[in-house]
Amino acid sequence: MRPRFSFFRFLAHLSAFALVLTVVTRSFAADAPEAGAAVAAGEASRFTETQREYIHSYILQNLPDFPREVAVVTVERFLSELQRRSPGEFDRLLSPDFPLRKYRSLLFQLIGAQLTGPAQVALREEVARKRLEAILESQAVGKVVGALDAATALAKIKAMAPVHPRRLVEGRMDDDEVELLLRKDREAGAAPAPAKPKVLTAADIVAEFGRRNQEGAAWQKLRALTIHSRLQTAAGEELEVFLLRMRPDRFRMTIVAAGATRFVISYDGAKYWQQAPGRPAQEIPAKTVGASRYLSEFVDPLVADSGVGFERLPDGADGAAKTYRLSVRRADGSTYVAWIDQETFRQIGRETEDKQIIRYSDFRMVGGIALAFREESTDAKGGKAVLTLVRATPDAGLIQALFEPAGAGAPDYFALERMLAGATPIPAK
Amino acid sequence: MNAPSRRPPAPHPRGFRRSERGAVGRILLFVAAGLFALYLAGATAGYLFVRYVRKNENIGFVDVALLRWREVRRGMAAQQFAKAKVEWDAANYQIAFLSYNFGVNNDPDNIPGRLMAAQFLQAAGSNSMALTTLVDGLARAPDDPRLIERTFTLLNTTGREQRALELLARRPASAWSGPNGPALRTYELEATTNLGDVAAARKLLDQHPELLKLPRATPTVARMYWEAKERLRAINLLTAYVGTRPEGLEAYTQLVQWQLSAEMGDEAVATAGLALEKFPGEIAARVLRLEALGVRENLGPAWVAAVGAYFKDFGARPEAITQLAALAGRRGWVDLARALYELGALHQQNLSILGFCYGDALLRQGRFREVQAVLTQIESQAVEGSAPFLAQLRNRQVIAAAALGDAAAVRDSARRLASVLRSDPEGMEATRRNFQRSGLVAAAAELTGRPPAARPAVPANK
Repeated sequence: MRPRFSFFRFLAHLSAFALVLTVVTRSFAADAPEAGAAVAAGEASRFTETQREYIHSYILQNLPDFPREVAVVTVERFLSELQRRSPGEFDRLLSPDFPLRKYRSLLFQLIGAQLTGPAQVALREEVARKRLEAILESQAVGKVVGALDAATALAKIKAMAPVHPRRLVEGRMDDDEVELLLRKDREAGAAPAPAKPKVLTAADIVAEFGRRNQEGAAWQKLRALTIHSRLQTAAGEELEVFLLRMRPDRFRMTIVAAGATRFVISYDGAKYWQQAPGRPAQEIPAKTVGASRYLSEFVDPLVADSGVGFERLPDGADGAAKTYRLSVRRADGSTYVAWIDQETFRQIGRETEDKQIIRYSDFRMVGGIALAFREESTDAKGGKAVLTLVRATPDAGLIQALFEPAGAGAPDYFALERMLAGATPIPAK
Repeated sequence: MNAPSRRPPAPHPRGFRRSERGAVGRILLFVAAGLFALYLAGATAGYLFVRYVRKNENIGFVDVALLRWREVRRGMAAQQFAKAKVEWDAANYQIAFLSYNFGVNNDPDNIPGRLMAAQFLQAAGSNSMALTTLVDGLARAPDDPRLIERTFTLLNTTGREQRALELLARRPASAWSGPNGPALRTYELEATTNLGDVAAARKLLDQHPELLKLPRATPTVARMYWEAKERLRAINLLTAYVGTRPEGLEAYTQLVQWQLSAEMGDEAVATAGLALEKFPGEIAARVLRLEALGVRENLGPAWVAAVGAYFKDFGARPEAITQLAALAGRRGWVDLARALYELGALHQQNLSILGFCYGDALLRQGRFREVQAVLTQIESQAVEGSAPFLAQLRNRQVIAAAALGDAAAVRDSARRLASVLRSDPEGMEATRRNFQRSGLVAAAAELTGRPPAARPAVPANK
């Protein structure tokens, strides 16, 4: 029997087919509808809240410490720039195949431009490193570019003229400039040896030291510095040293042995005082403070604005490093000799008046200034002590009260410290 | 019997002959078969796309072939919600955001998914978008108690009480007489009280005395009484409520504060004891007890011993010092705040918050010049501080300047505070209300960037 044909059935199939095609195409072509019921246009922005939050979520993922209120500005700029540069891709922003990686460099550049303060130096460097990673990735399609490559590239750029790293971390350098720098660095191996440098005077060395050991005017901007370090004394004792310094000349040094404070010595701008457990704070005369009084030098004499004299001494060497030797004379007449590495212009050593030799190494940038994380001192009798920095924090929020003797209220600092020492450790998960 | 008569076949009405009809039929059959084959191919392609390209394992061929596209989208949304949670846990916020967005848009009726998306957005710091998500959900499922609770709690705790009242005003009368009615009325009372409109809150309570018997409304009702200066009544009401050992520390904390300000030290210690029994592992409950004990014992030996026990139990936690310092600041215990600052200097990297606590203690003691000096020192080290930090700083500067009677400094600090809060209109409004309540009229005037809207009327007969 011949199958019966129904025109209406045929129409139904045809419509169904068309419908399937439409539904499948429309439903799955775009993963995330741009303006759904849940998406409301921001009042103060040209972009939808979803678009802004999407970019913000990317920032949050890469830089959890980046402040949200700063991110708001960055996101707005990024979206404007993206819309201007490639409107087609901007329209695909919320689809999963949007090539956000392609615009990572731009995003990190804009983020870097927003980070301006001295306390954000570490974050700014991290942003610059991520940006370099993005640029290197785009240059080496198909090759895996790790964080190490980017870190190496950043280190190389930092070794160039100071203007380059500064412009890079501050987001003032465009991609093509960065690429040019990286290309220059690759070609540097084949470049002829640089011309012989001119003979430097003491002022030249000090100026170059100031330029190489801080980012911009970081020393000038820095208001306070806290340093936590471990000291191995010449007698072999292990101590913890907490040094808190605040402009113009305040300092407080806490010496801790086996988890308990042994004593505190401090300068509040008028007098030195000392306190030990079970005793009230005692003022101590300046002449008995000894070399500790130089802790009130907030700024290294080599970058001080005034009151310090320099004289160039015959060059020296410390191991493989050739050094400039500078005699530094403070306003109070005391002197020391600074050893400046001829290559890096780091202060790698000091000779003090009491014949002590201090060697500095493991330099790291903290708050835009170069700090030696290791100090090795050898006294006149050959006794060696090693100070290793655990943590240095710029502008931690120090206040004058910290440098003044405490009142008699109970429980005092020492009592609280004893209580805290008895804390039950948090059980491991 | 008559033989059946053989009639000649009737002519086709349109004049087709038999052979022509057969040809047309065959052609149509081929076309139909072809189209059916195309339909099958389309459906198969759609299924393969969803199943393998989009990797949706919950989709069957029948769902696509029978046009159950809603189920398809729901299945995909469910998968995206699950994926979003995984990505969120792995701190991949970008993917999590996309997945939640996709999920909510494809299955807007999935309430657990929507609530999760709102939670994610809140965690990412976007209260406003979380709110959009919740309010959209509420428009689709107006009677869902989970959505009601989350939406109005978020509104009333982020300074958006005006918006809460607007939304409540738009609800149909049936919503107020239904099972969610008491909850809605509680949120209305809460928003009204938060806005400082005590008279309206009182009127509302008079119109709806059933709220007095509703446990969840009790803290709000008590707060309304407190604001209306009926303090003993407020304390009694909240004491009875706390006696039922409610979940949530807020009620205990509120009661202890009220009892201390009413000089009911023993009762405050007892309330704090109840809180500690209920929340033995909570650092905030222990600090609450230290507060009550410290006031009652005037920081005597029993209190010092309690501090020792506190450090023994919680000293290993990073927030232990800050929590105690905040208490010292709140209560004006200057020496303790100072000693905790010294201790914190050895354990914490950022000391600004401890500095604020010390400044608060000085403020409580009326040492306003010292407060200003502390704030100036902290400010000099926070050039690029975050907005919440700067808001805290400027807020304190306004108060210190006002205490010293320096009108110019009050205006200047308030202006700078307004600049910090520019992108947070609700925060600005909440701060303005606080200043207004504290009599800092000049400071409040600097924050009136956006005049408060009139309170929307919620008809009492709803």
